[in-house]
Amino acid sequence: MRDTYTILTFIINFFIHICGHVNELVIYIYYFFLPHFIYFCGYFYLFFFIYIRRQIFINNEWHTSIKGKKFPTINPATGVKICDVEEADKADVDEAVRAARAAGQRGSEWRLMDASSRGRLLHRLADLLERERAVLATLESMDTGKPFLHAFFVDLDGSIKTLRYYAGWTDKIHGKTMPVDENFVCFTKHEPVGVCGAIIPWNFPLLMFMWKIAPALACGNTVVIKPAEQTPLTALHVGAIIKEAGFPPGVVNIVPGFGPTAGAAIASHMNIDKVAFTGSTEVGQLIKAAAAKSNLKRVTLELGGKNPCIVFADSDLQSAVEETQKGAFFNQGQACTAASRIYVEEPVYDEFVRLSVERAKNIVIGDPLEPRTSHGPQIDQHQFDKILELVDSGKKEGAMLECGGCAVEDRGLFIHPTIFSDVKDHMRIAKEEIFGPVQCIMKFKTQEEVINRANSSHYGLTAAVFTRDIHRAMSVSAAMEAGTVWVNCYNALHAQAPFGGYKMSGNGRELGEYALAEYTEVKAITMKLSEQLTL
Amino acid sequence: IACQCVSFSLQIFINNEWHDAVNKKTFPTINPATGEVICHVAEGDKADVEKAVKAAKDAFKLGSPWRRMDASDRGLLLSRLADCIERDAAYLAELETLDNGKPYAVSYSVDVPMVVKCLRYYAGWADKWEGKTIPIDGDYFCYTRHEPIGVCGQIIPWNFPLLMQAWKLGPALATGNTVVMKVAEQTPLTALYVASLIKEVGFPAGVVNIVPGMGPSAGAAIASHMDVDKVAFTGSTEVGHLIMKASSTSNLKKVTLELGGKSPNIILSDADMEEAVEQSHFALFFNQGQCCCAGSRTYVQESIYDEFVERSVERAKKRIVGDPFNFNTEQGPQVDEEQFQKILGYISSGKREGAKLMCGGGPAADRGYFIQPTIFGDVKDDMTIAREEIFGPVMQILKFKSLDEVIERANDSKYGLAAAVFTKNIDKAHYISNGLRAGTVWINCYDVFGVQAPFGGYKASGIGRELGEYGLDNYTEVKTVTIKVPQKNS
Repeated sequence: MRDTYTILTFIINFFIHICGHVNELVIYIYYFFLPHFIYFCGYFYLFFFIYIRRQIFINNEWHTSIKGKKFPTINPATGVKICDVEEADKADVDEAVRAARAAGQRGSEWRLMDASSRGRLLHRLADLLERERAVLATLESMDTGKPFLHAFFVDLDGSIKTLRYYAGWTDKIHGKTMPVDENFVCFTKHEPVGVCGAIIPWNFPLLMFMWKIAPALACGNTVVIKPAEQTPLTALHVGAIIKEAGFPPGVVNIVPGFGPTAGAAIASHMNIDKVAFTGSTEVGQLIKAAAAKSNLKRVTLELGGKNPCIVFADSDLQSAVEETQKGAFFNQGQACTAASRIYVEEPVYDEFVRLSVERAKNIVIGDPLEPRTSHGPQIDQHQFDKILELVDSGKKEGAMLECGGCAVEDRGLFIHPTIFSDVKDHMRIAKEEIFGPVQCIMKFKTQEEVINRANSSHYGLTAAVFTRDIHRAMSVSAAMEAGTVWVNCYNALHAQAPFGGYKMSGNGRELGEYALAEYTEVKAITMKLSEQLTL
Repeated sequence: IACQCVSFSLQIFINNEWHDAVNKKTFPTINPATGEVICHVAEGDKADVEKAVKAAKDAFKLGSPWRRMDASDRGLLLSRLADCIERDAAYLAELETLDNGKPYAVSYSVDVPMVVKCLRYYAGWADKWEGKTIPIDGDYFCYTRHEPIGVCGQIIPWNFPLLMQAWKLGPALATGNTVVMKVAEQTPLTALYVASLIKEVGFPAGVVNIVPGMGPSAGAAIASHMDVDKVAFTGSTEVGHLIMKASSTSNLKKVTLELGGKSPNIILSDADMEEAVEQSHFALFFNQGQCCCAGSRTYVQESIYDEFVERSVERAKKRIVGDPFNFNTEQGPQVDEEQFQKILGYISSGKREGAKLMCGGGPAADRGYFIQPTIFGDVKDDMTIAREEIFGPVMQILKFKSLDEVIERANDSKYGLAAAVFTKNIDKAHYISNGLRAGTVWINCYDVFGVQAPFGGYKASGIGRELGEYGLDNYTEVKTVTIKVPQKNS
């Protein structure tokens, strides 16, 4: 059985390699036909061949929960349980931290390893991810409800590129020598922080996993990572791959579990040197408080957003409509970067709304594994209810519902892509993070006005500007209080460029060279040189 | 028999295709262990360089596949090239030994792995070679782009043919340049095999072009070409002068040079004797003494001088010289007849000028270009063997008394490539290493080459640095872009 699985993976990857090297036409054909094959294989795999990892991964071994507890993980598209997963709690986190601490001990295999060899391991992990691409995309799609093709092309691509990017950094994390005054030699070493806790969300389970472990491992840290309870499966599958790639035991430990138990145990652990969290601002505050109360561990946070998109009348309107709508509805609106406040300049406002509504109606809602589907279910009942509650508030507060506004009948957690126009800044839908497929369109008159309105939020994650005027692009992008500004594009995320929030959208930066600073301690070594040298 | 070893094209590699020389000439490449011809290789001349530059220039055109390629994909191509070289390591190592004479054990365990590491290292840089944004005064927005220079001519030597190729290709390709490379006429084989791998992994046509040929014809054509934007040369200081002159009289192409050395290796009286003897032996005799950074002036402190010389001689006598394909062999032949004769000439001059020949001093076999490991004691600073680069297995041991004296004597050379100091004393180690005028200083070690660390010469040992992040500078033009903005905000 396992052999068949290997052969299937091989065939698919073979196609991927071939197509990657031919031309766009072939990719086009491939894009339309191969997914049908994978669609079929996906079910085939899951039900017959994939051994779904469902245990706690510590020291390159699989463990059951110490308390003996398990939790179900659900396919949000069907509401059917995929499997039960071992639930990590404080005691399991303790075990994982012990393993991570031992693996990062001075003199350990991991600490003695050449930096370039760490890079080789990360490259190998990327290679294995490529090999397992179809499996991981299937699992990701089943567990999150995101369309398979998004998982296959966006999530997997991003994950692989992130690993390769940081693989290259390992032996380029330079210290410096400083020309200090007087007779000293002074130099810095960039050392790993130690045991890094990571708590990741359910919207991009695999990608967030890589954003956390890639820079952490590149810098030589060890990791205890808690995937979200909604979506533990790809993380655990990666655990098996990490072992196969040859990372020493204890370097990466994966503890599936809940925030208030396993997550809190990580954030307040006395033997964790750093915690990185991606999730809601509310929980971000808890994490930082836990760090403050325990051992002052370093904290990086990547939190919520209420991201303004500013569309000027001189922009390429069609492109602006497409980009902002993709920004709003991508991943069912479940993205911290979601384009959730769209400010459109008065002269083109009506046209923009009309085009947006037209476009939204063409969105295909359906089974995420079906290749035509571009819109899947929300992740769970809690999110589903929260989104519909906010949609209701929008209606009540007087925003104009242009389309959607309700759940898809008889289909569990699916919500129709929703557009509100005439949204006012004081409305809840204009202020709170909805994390669902709701596009709020506002009107503005002047540049100065829209800059002020865009910035009047306690969030500051991303922003976008659509204009053909270079002066305007420069002025507005400079004025935005946000960690990322996109000009005439949206969700243009790259491993090479830093990402993170101003204000309450976060602390620190992920990706790019900047992320390395979050995972290193700088040690300045100063040596006194004797001035009396005798032979 | 030897010809059967070569199962790839022996032509000029242009545009991912194989070409005969325009004038149909070929030249023989010799196995230095036997003096026999291995095979004949197409001999590139001015006309072939012309074709190669045209190909490289086309590959570099704005909008070309190479220019439009994602930086991370350039990195992937370099990674794949490293993978292929690793796959074919045994074959490449054999070929290198056959052509160059270096022991197979060394080419397999030193040269090839360093090549692989070098390419992987620069693969990682491709998408990390970041420009900056700069807060200039006034209502402007200013940033820099790190752009490739363009067509890079690269002329490489015969002492580490594969490794020098990687040192040149890695940074040039990571930064997005195109290359016309002339490989040494003594050792063209491995470079041509690598060319076939470059094609195999999928570099676009014209990105790398390899022209085997002679310095005065093909090399000179590159150095003085009006469409070559940069030239990088590794070789003798003498030829370095010619390259720079050719640049200045043609188009002022950028020049980086990695040239000769007469590197001082300083042994203090408190050093670990055994280790110092072994490392100094390695420093000089490694690669048959054919290293630009060879520790060719061994300064030993007075109080341990006699013991050091005695032990060094003992060690040199044990050095196994012979068939490079024998796994026990430490030293193979010199690369060719010319080098062989030149080294023997230096040995004669040493004797003539009054240095004390402690061991060796002559050929080590009746065929091939083998030379006995040779040590001169009581060498004085003004002797020819203490001033000129011998590039052979000839060690000069000199005596010194004080730190300041040895620093001054060590620096009294037109060269400044490498240096080393052996001592257990932290103050002395720093004092000497700070005082030496050399691009690389090793403390209690020698010939340690991390691809991550820069290498290059002070003074007449060169211009610019290879390896490390510094190596990228040599292949980059910095473009400052300044945009007028209505109103600046910090």
